[in-house]
Amino acid sequence: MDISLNGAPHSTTSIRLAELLAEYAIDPAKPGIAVAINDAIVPRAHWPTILLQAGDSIEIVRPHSGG
Amino acid sequence: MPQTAQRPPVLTIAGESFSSALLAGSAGYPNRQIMLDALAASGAEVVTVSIRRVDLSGPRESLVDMLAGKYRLLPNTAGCATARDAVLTAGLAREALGTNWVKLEVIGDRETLYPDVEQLLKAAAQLAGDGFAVLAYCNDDPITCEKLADMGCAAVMPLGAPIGTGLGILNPYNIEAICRRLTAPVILDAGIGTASDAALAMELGCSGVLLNTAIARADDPVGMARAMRLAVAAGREARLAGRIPKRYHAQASSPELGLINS
Repeated sequence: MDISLNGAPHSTTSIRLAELLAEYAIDPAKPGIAVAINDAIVPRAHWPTILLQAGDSIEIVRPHSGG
Repeated sequence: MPQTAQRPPVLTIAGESFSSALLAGSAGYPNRQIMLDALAASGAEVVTVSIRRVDLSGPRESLVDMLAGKYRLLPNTAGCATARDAVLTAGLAREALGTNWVKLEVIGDRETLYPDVEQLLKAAAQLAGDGFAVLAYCNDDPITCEKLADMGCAAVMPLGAPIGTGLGILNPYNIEAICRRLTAPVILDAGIGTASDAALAMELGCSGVLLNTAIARADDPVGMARAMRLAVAAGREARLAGRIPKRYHAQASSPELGLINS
């Protein structure tokens, strides 16, 4: 299905959010990552179960240097 | 003689106590090692970070792994131009870092990097209501600062000068007035160029100083970090000791009686 991932078009075979994160070797057990789908924050506990929908806009963020 | 009495904390924010009044940023250092060395030399216990998209193209070195455990991380909403984006970013930061602390920045335009006060107040009210400890970056305007404090912000952080300029404290009279009027901690944020600026902020009554560029872009960031640690401590001591009033005419400091030939 086609989704938007961090602002870019992306085609994925993943059905669930956790599978999409695994595509990028993002370890769900490690702190420091947060995910929003269509501007709604997805709590970490829901990552394994939440289903992706075509057209979803997904943002995966982490802390970066900042002032 | 060993001191048995517990010294009061230098800075308390949202019920959490710190022994340094300096808060430091993590951006713009020549490299990661210099950042770590400078942060250690600064004595800062609170370090700001931004929240950005993960780079999906390759391996990722984690800032959290480097700093967590050693510092209280303070995520910012830098780059956000609307209350909506700032609130979402604060929520993402809470999820990523497990902290309800946020340095709230809502920027009005790219040229001045001044806060958009209308959006800032809106975001602050929402976040404070949602249980965030909001440290609000704001204009050096006593009215706005008071509104932010009344909303329950954990700290109010007026700018000394525009972000990254190093111009120091452009309106010390306003900063002093803000410190006098507020019971919430006032932290001077942005504009610091060198150590004397940081000392002045504390002398004016600020509870703390947040800076980044002045250390990160100095010729010797570790040396400047040390200078800032000393400056903030010296400014605080001077404030507590009470400076002499300014006079407009000379007043001799040596005794006037007993002069020879008198």
